[in-house]
Amino acid sequence: MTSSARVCAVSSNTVPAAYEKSVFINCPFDDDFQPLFHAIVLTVAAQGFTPRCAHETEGQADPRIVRIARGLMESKYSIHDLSRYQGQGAENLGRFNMPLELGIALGMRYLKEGTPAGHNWVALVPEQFMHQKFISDLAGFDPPDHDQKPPTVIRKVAAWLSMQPDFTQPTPTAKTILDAYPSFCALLADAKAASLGTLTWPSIIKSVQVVVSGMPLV
Amino acid sequence: MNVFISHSRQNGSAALKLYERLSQRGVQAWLDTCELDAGEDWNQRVAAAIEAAGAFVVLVGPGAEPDRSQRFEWQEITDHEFYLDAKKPMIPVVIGSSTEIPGFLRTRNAFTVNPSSIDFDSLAERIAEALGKPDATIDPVQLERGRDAREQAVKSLKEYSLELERDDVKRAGLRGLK
Repeated sequence: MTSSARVCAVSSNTVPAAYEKSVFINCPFDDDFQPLFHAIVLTVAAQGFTPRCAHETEGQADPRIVRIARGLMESKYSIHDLSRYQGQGAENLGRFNMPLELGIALGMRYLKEGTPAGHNWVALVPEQFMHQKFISDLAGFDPPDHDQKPPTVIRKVAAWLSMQPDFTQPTPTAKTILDAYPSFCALLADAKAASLGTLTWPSIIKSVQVVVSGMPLV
Repeated sequence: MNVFISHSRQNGSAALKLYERLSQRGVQAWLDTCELDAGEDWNQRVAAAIEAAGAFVVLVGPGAEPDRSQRFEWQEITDHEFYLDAKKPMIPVVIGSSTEIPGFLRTRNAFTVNPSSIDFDSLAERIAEALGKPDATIDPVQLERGRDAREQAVKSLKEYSLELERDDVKRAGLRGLK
């Protein structure tokens, strides 16, 4: 099987957004990370891109990693958060899903280089150059770092997206996005309450779409 | 006005020639290779120079990617959103016609040059002139295209949202059948 045939084998037929406007978000989905995940979703949408993630295909029969690979292949851009790097639980185990999925994006970046369907990725890392100790192969990429707080994440993601060739202006400033963040969170809280404590991907996208459509631009 | 010249290492020689020609025309330009002494903290000095700059000349290409040092400069420019300040002239000098312009420079009027035959005197002359008219560095056609793209992006997001809702209803129906 050739590499292009392999790509087709895991591609789905339904692509919800234009390839060059799709940004696949790969980050932890637990409650602790949720404020940052929502900050990334909001920033991606506010910058004129379509946020996508593994939630989109939940309930499908394919293994999660296949669904993620498919989502990555349908997206020109991907954001990978590696800020959570320490062991967790009684056994102090590290989780390797994020680096594994970043590896797929990195492979795609070089596999697709020079083709119209190129791919670019960014890894968000913890402050103080900690990534140099736990994922030293990222040396030379100078990934943006953050302090696990929404304002910083919004600023860093907005800055990275603005460097991509498919970014357009006018656009909201990072401050505008940050100002809209509480309204977005309030809409999400309402949606969660309305679905008896479950926040679904469709309701996240519906809420972000409402917030983004009224944003002032410069 | 301090004019920061952003360049990758492969454009070091072109950046230096442009710096010299701009300086000859009385433009106060800032180029890392001319301003920094050995042993100085490059990142710190460049970040400070970018923050102090009143205008930017950005050498882009040839090729798609900036190198590590230029990527740092672009991170500083975009992190502080200097590209959104219409009062700060930002002039892309695109080296080679197949070079892809980063999004944050797209609404700026670019000077495209052939890497094998750059007329630095003429280029510096045009840049010096453009620096005096910040409004003229904005490309209204690209800005209009950006507005259309923005409208399209909001529309696409709405369509995506509706599509997800339809899928959700379908799945709920299937769960009901089970």
